[in-house]
Amino acid sequence: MKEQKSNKAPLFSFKYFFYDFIKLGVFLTGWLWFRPKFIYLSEAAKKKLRGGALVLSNHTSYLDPLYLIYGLWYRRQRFVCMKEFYDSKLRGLIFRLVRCIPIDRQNTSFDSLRLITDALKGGEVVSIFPEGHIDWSGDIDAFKSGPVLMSVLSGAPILPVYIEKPRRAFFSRLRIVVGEPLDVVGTCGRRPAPQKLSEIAALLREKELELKKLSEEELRR
Amino acid sequence: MRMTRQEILEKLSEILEETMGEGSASGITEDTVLMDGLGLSSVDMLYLIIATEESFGIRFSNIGIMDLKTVGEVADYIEAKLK
Repeated sequence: MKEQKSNKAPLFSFKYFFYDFIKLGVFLTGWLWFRPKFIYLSEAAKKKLRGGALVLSNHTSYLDPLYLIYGLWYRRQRFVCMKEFYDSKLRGLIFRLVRCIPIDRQNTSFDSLRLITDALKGGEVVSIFPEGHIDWSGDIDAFKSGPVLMSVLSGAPILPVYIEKPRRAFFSRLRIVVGEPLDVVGTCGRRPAPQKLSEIAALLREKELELKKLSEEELRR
Repeated sequence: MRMTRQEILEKLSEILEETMGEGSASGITEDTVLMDGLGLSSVDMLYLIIATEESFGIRFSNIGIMDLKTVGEVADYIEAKLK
């Protein structure tokens, strides 16, 4: 797998001030509350991400971005969010301060796509929920193939992560299952047919289901 | 780069054939609707525009996929950018 450009953001950065502020707050308060448990698919999954990467996760609650901050605690992440949220006055302020990337789901702009691929090429971690909506039932719906296109254009690998939110606050733990990074360009080349993008999206959903199964097995132990 | 409208349309047909597969551009006209007419998905559209950007050496900015409904609208945008 091609090594991505490393994220050289310093320990303290004004650019990430609010992100770090929230992250610190999450760590101090949430760690005790959620007591996250990390489960890794394999030894390869334990390896820390370096350089640009696209993190894909299931989406079952509004707190998922915070859970993902735990999952990849060692890296700053940029979350892809709905444009409606980003543009709203009060809520949008937080989204803007933590450097989310807005995307218009009804009328995707080429600028949004470029923002994401530029961030990935620049060595940042971008996190996205590929189902495109919150599934309150906890199921994993079909993955959109947009994230696969982003990975192809940037050359960044995709890391699947599964979040099992606490079933009863405080009494049960948050479980974060980390899969192995997938080198999409290595799998399908730089110019795959559009059909291939859908196939990779389906493959990633399969991987996500595998992580879900692992989480359920862990719970039964 | 100076191109006539006809040249732009021919090149667009070539790009469509290359990205979406052989035969995908057969019989297209300026009025052909990309998403509903040719059955392109939103990702297909993004993919097509990226190939168009590379081919014409332009950038599609401040515009979304729904703003480019027909082949003619894509040609209009390219024409304006090439001026």
